[in-house]
Amino acid sequence: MIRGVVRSLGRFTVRQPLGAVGAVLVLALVATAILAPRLAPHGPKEAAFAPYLPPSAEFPLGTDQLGRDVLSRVIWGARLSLYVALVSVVSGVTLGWLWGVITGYLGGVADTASQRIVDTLMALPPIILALSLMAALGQSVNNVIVALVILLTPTASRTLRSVALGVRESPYIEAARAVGCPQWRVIALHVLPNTFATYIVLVTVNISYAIVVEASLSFLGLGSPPDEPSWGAMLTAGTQAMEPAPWMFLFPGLAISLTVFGLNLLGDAIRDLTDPRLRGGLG
Amino acid sequence: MLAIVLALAVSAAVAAAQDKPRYGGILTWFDYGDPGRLDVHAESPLVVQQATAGVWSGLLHYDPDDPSKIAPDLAERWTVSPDGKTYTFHLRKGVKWHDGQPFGAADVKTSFDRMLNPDFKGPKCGAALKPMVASVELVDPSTVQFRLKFAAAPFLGNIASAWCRVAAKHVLEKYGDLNRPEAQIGTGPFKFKRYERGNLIEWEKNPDYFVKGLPYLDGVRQYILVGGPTQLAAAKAARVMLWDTWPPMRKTQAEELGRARNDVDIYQASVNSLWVLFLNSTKPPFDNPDLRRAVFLALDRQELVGKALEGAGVPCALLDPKLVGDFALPLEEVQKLPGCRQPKDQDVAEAKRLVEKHHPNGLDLEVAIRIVGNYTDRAQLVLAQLRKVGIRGTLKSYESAAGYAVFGKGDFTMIAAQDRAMDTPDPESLFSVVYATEAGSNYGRYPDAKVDDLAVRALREGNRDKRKQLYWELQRHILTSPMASVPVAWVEGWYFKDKKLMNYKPALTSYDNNTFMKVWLRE
Amino acid sequence: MGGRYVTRRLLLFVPTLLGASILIFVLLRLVPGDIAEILVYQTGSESSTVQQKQIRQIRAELGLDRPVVVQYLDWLGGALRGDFGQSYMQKRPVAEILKERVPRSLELAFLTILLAMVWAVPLGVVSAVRQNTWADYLVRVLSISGLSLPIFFSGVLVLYGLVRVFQWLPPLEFVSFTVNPLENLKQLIWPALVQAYYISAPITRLTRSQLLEVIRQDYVRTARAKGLGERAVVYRHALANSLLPVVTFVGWWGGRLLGGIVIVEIIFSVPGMGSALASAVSQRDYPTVQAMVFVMALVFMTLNLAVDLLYAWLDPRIKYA
Repeated sequence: MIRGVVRSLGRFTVRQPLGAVGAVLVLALVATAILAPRLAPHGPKEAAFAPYLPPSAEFPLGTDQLGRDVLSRVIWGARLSLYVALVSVVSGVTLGWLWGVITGYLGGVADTASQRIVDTLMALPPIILALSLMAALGQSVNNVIVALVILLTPTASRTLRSVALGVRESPYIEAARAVGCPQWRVIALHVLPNTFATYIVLVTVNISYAIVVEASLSFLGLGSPPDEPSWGAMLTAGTQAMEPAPWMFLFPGLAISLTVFGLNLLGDAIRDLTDPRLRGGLG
Repeated sequence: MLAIVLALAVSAAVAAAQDKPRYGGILTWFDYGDPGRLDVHAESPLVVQQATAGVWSGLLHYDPDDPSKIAPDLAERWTVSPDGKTYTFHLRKGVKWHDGQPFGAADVKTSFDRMLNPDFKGPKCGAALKPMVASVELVDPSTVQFRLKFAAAPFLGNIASAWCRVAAKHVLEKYGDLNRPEAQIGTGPFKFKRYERGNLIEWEKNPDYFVKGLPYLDGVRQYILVGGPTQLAAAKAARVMLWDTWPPMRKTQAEELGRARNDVDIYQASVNSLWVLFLNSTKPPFDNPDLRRAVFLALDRQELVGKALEGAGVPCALLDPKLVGDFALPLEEVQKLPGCRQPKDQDVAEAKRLVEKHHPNGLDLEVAIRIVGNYTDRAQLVLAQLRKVGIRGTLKSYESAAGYAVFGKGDFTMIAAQDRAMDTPDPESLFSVVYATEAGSNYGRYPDAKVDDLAVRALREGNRDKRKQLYWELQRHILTSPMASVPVAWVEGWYFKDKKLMNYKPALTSYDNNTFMKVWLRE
Repeated sequence: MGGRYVTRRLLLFVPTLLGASILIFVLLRLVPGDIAEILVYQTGSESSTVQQKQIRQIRAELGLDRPVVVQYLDWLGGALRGDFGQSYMQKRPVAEILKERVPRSLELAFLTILLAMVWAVPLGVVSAVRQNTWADYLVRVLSISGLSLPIFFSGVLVLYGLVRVFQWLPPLEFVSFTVNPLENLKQLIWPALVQAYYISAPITRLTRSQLLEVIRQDYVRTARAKGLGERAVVYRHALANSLLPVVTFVGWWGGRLLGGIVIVEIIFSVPGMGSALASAVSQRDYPTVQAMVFVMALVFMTLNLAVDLLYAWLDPRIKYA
């Protein structure tokens, strides 16, 4: 069993060396997020030190404008970013998946109506949608998630619907229908599983999108509350002290880059292994 | 020897040349946002003042050569009646509007009648004058009389404010308001030349300016630059000659600029505002005076200034001595008061006792903040300090405009930081706006009869020394009572000016002296 | 493909635009504070009773005191007649604002797409032709790196770098292309580059995967078998066919870009639609926001339609009925 896993991992590494690099980065991120309370030397909100200290043995990544340990904030930031990205993307894409697949499979009025709703949501500029949503909901980590879900769901549903339409015409689905299988069973047992690969790719690709959107909202002053150790908020604070304290933008920037990088490499690899025709992310 | 003499002669000549103003050149600086509306009578943001200042004149203004003094502008001179209730302004003759029409007393009356109209939203000049001015009367085509309701000490200071501009009667009649670029027809040293929305505003020299020989500059160009990184980049690339806007530079930005350019003077100056922490006195927990007092005592203002303002500020000062002189309660006295003094141990212990008395397990609450400038930094430090006395706050941040709406409606428990700028450099401006019971920025809605009484008496007090005593009493009262508007510090920040820029003297408030009428550019 | 298809698609514009306008209308009114409250409370100089009176006055003047449904229908009625009303903030017709701002953002979006294509498509080709070699890996790493920095950050870095290295900054004054193309490009090239770098990753990736797929197809094999050189195969046959989905994608992106352009416009002080929209949202200038969102949605849908038609025209296999 274990040997089998090792062997397939080995095969993956040889066939997709970039994917393997991505997987390592993603694993490192997940580990950091889970172990944040143990890894971080200080609390993420603990403004107990001198401000703008350069990296040293005591503060490996320096301190920020309020005298907080940048290393601790970057580590806790992994947890926050991953939480925001995972929850929003998984719920957004899952909603879109169910929505797109079910309406796509059933067709008819439900499908037409839902397509119009998707049209509407997609026609609104995403950043404006996100901006006004955040302003309306108020700023909290969970509201960032809500805004992201609203951005992600329609696009995911459109992509997955088109995949579902293809699946519907396949011989085995027709066969299942012919033997009188009820619709919900066909959807649950055949259509959903057959669109799962696309679903997984959409999730990996959009996690980096979510991280970047969260950061951009912070820059526009509408992201997570400013004391939360969000990489985006740290990066925004870093732009105020580019030269005197480059460590303030460098390390959160690096954290975002490595994460997005890892996720994309991994996503590309999965895509290559599953479906070469699948189009890019939501952007 | 000869070389030395020559060198001396040359440097003397250079010095002489530098003393003598040079004509020509365009001053470039920036606005922190797009004003959108330009009506100086009706709008209140600093950017409106920046965008239009050079176009207008007032009856009086703060002397560009010495901004602490009031000087004649459109009014040549003025007289006061013995009871202090009638001011007569004698206007300059031969002054022309930018469109060539002659200026006269009717324009003055129309402008002030407009701002004094109870139905008119006159947020700055109007708001300052309405309580004290009964009527404006035409005496003859070049004389105007202001009849006051009582002998108001700050009257002349208010009239000199850059918000109290005189606009043309015929322009107001034609356009209805002063919002459009076409309506920017003033009597000032510059004409309004161009407004590219969201991009730039340009003034050009008014060759017919009523002060002969002024202005020196050919024009002023202001770019609309949003956000610190863009503004700093423009400063470092020498595209702008001046940073005199809101927010000021952070210390780190000032350092970065200092490394990029050695042809600028970087200085620390007042932002002209008081950092106030507001507590909502209309609902629990801060309807309880003990808890308000606890917050006052718990704040370590020294640390707040040191870290959140990066050292630029005057802890605990209600009024800044640099701005209002001896009207400010002496800092030596302020810094000995409980809550303001160092070390903090005793005050923190007392605050903790007060919190425990009513909330033995501590207190959880939401702390509101608008996300602008360095407010978020300040709020985070405030939270940390309050935690030490058992008040556990969670940050609730608002987009700038949403914050105003929420604060105005009293829909908050605590606001960690909100700066209140003084509209005029008179102490009255602060108390009538933040502390009086009915005051528009008394977000905590705290009624205090003694504040109202002292503020009104000080407003009507003609004797400067007695007035000072009244304001001192008022400041002592505020610093020792459980107020809902908790003073934190007088705010300062970093600014710069290009060394080429001569005779530029920032005024006491950021609103005044933005006309650049006497500013000139060295070679 | 017939006119009927186009007509059907155009008819679909109606419910979408209606839906989008209702959605943004409702959303804006859920945001705390309207322009009356903001104008009055941000001043805070007058007594609280006067403030309440002034808020009522401003609302009455702007018609904000009417029921929301009436306000919407009023707006819709105007919009149908091509009248987007007056900006609450600027007190001038919204149409004037659109006329100023829209062309600038369109130009920036166009420039972005152009740069992205010029950079991303060749990279995708290299990556596909040299699949699984170091060149392929390098290209993929390069293009993903574009995705890995938020646009605001790469924008700030570019500004910082230009000043640091060249002591130079793109012009702050916006000059339209028709007045002075060079000056115009000097300013717009930087925000366009920053955005192009960001969107190039999906384009490269798509070019690569499309090309890989096409190369494996029969007619390419036939071309090879006929003894055509590898170059000719790739460029004449495979690329032409694989570019189609790329064009679709880019067209879709083009519409998207117009809305996402806010951040670079602010950083590089381009007075376009994005920065105007952001400040209109923060000033609660409802008519301006509604009109701009309307225009953006319209452009987005029109581009989508255009791309689909182009697709059908280029690829005879597709028939729209």
